[in-house]
Amino acid sequence: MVNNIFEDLIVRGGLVGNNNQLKLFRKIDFSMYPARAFAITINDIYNKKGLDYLIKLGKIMGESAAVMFRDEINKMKSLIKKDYQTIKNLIEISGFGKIEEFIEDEKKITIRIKNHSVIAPSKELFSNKSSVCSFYGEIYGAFIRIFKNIKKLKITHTKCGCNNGEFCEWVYEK
Amino acid sequence: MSIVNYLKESILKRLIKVEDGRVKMFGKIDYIMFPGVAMAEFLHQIGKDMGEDYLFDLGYKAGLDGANEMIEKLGLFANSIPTNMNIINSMFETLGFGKMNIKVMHSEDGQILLTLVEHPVIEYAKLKYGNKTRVCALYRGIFSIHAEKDLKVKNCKLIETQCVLKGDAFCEWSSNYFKKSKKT
Repeated sequence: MVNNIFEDLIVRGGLVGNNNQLKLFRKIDFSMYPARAFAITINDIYNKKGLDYLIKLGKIMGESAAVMFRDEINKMKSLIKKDYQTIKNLIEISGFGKIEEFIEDEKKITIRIKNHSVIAPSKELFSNKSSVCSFYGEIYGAFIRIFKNIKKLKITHTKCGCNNGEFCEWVYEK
Repeated sequence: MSIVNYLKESILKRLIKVEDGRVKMFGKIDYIMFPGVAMAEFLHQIGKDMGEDYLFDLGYKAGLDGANEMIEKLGLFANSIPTNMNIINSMFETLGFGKMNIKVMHSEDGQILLTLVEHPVIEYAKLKYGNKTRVCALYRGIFSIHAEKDLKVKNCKLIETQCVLKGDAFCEWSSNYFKKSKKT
């Protein structure tokens, strides 16, 4: 069953298959990667270079994806709103996971995610030694910064799916 | 072709299903989709900081797990080598790993020569970094272990003999094929 964001994009003609390649907005190519293998990749980088480096990579990957989407959306701003639903949808179609809750107040934004295709195998393989959540926390932070035009966010990983939590939760203080 | 037809075609090929926001191969193995540009920048940074050999090893380890997962969960690659080659070609192309053409393969001798074009991550890396990036090393690692595990090419460690990042028309990778590597 194709889920809602995919259906929505199909109706809008935003996501098409062309010559066996998946393209968003008719120009953005996607490449796929096995989720468990990506958990292993992230863990390997963490073991070699540590948490700060992983955070730097999360920021690079998140900003790259978010800037590309922002630029594409700016070209068709009458069609797509830059609201939190859009951010959630873009994060999901980017393959960074399905955000369960997105709560905002004046000072902070809280994101919760569970049943994540990379965090789940990471928990199985590396339990609480996994740092994959910190990588994803940075990716989501990059989307918030770019789409809400916020220069700096303080990110706190308040609940961890790899450390006996049912879900991961990050708080982004503005 | 619409995405519905694309997905239908992929499903007909028994490759991809999308369930509750998770992309699954044959409904059993989770895959993640990355925008090519984001993956290119991620890999470029790793290659810049830790070198081409590390990127190759990273791909080799990821490819090993990917190949094992396909065998464990799907029982793939228990077929003849030509059938496995068709599966790999079709699968890699659908997964956004470019169009691969195996030109020479003698599994027993550990010999293989292949070309690759239209890889979205390598194409983005070329646009952004030109010949200053080595992102293809990760994919060379992935293809090496798949050639070894699925196509039975002994001790396969692909080396690069042509590279789109350096202006060639295609990437050419080989193992035990050229007596003297013409590595660029």
